Amino acid sequence: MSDFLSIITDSRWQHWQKAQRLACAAENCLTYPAVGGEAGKMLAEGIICDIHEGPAPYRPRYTVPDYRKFLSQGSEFLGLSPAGDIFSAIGNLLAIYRFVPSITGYPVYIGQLDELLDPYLADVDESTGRSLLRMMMDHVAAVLPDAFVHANIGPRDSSIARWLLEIEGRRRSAVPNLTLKYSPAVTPPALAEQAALTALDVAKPCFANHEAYQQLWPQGYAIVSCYNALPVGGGSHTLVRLNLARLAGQAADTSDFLDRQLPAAVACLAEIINARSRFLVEQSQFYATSFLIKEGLLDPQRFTAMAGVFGLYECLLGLGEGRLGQDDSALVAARAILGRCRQLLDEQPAVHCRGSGDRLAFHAQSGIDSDVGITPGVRIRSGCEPHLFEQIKVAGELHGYFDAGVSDIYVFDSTASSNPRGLKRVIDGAMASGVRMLACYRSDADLIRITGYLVKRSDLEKLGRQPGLHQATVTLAAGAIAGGTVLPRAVRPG
Amino acid sequence: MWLLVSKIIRQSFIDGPGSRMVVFLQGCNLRCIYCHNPETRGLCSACGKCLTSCPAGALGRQELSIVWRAEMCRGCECCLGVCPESADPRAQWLPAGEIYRRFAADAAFLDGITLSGGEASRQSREWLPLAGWLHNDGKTLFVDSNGMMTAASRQEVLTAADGVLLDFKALDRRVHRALTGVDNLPVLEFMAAAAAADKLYELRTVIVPGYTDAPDSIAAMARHIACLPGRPFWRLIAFRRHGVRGDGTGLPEPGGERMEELAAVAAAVLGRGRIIVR
Repeated sequence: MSDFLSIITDSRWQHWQKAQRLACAAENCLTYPAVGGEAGKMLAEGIICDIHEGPAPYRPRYTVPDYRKFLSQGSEFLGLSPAGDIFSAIGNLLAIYRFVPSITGYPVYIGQLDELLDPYLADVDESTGRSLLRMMMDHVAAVLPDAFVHANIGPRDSSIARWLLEIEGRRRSAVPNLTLKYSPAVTPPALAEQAALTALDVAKPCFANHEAYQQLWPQGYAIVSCYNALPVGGGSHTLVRLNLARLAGQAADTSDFLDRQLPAAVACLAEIINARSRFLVEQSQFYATSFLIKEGLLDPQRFTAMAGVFGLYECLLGLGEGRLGQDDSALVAARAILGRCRQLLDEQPAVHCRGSGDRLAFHAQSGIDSDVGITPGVRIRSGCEPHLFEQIKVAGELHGYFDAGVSDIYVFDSTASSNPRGLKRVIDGAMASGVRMLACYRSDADLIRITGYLVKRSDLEKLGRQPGLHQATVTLAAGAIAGGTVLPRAVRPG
Repeated sequence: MWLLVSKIIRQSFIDGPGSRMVVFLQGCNLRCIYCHNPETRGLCSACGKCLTSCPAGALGRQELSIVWRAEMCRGCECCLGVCPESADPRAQWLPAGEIYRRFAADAAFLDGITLSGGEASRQSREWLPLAGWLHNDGKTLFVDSNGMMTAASRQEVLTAADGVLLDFKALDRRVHRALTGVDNLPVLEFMAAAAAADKLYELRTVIVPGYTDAPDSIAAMARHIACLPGRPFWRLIAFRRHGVRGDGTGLPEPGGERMEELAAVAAAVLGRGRIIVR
């Protein structure tokens, strides 16, 4: 009980921030879904990590509502009529976001904004349209102050996409996160170049490989939260991740790792994921009670559950396979490990995972604040990157194993800003090499990527002087930097 | 066809359109006082003065030439300072095919190759095949030149290259002589020919206080450029002492405000979109 009181009496947080912490503390009083002794041991040792999701999941980790359907039908539960014009479309969206659940308490997806809003633009002139969009973004950033709140645009050209890039370039805010679904064949070069220039300035949008994701999720996908690719109208019950670096510490050598350690760990990982999904679906009543389900904005059949991995770089070092990005042996071993993970995951049951064809979805998890000395996902450790082209080629070799999200980050020097065409060529090359998601920013920019989400350097500096900032993700970023795996990244070219 | 290569940069955003590999060719026919990579100017005479300058023992003699052992080099560049020829013992003879092979490995990320230097046109006969190979791949070849070249090289550059990045050191002949030791008439002729062939992509002027930073002369150069067909970009580059040897080390560097002021003068004639300041 003293935990609750210390939250209530903490002078750092606003009341709503306290309410979020109280809810977490309350959930943490409950017992964990029943898992076997081996799985429990791996959780306790940190070989497997549930990213502090809490022992009694009562909402999915990520939900990806079908906002198009929402705009066309309104919501009986919220008392909203179908959107008839741009005003009611934006009004309805701003109304529903607050009720879209996720692990963070904020929606991790606020929609494919170009497809949602472009059809309503005929009613208003350009300046009104831009003002509305700006107002919408300011509202989202103020009410949903979390850098995992994610909007999508592309791959096609649209006024909304172009305006949004311009507005976000000016707003210089970490919220919302933004992804351009990018297809060199469909996205016009001018839009791609505008997006690339905006990314240099404000570290968003990220570029998602639309051709690849479209094939993986033929019924439609969205990029949500921190580079997660998930089916629209569904989401992911949970995400539990395997610390490859720590697991490697238990292995005698690479074949022991592949033949003994990984099978045991993946079995435990799947067991924990399935136990959590089962609790959420069968006990918490989320899918029986949510108005989003009843109104067809979420479909239980379109949900999956995610198995994550991270710390591949240190795993390879630990196994004596060398440095990823420098040594060929490391890349060969990396492919063997990820291929084996995928194969082992496919051999496991996947409870309530109709959305991904009854397989667990596979995700390269991009790190959390408490990771010390362990590199996110399957990236090369910050500061150890080889030449940019080599880094991209390595990412291109490894991204193909992941259906539910994987990413890499490239930092450019100021010369890139004078040459958007050149930057687009590098991005096109990355897509052609098999990279599925990339973020970039300029070395002198204020907005930067911490593991995956966005944060302002200036906010990080403020945090030292003034606790309780508006955006919760700033605090997470400070932890990630203290963990030592984030800054500084190699700057390109050079 | 072998080329004497000073160094290769796998990617640059400032040497022509898009993302480009840059090949610096060894040997230049000018001796500009502000040259920032003087080690690319000369050709090795195998005098051997550099051999003892190398703390890593990476330099040796093989028959009549100096050899550089890359794996032993620490990159201290002690050898450059002692070379009486302004040459670079690290320069390598590479077949044109090897340069293309390196390009092809990164081609997905590149729009083409830019040949720089030194003076790239001096090896035009040797790099000519490269243009054809790149064009077959839908890539481009650009040449960064000082404009001083033989008629034969001019012909080769203007037919084989897709574009030229040309030094426009000064319009005033006295200033050009003071900076380079030679008259600028051949440069102006090449500039006109390149523009007429629709190959003049960018002009480059180093701003040196006391030589090229007078607003009037910048305006005159801008008017000269405005009369050229093809609307080339004009890049104004602030002189920096880094790397400079000899008389140039005493030259002052222009401030950021001065650069912006001159950019405004240039933009008033050519439009802001054509002016690049670095």
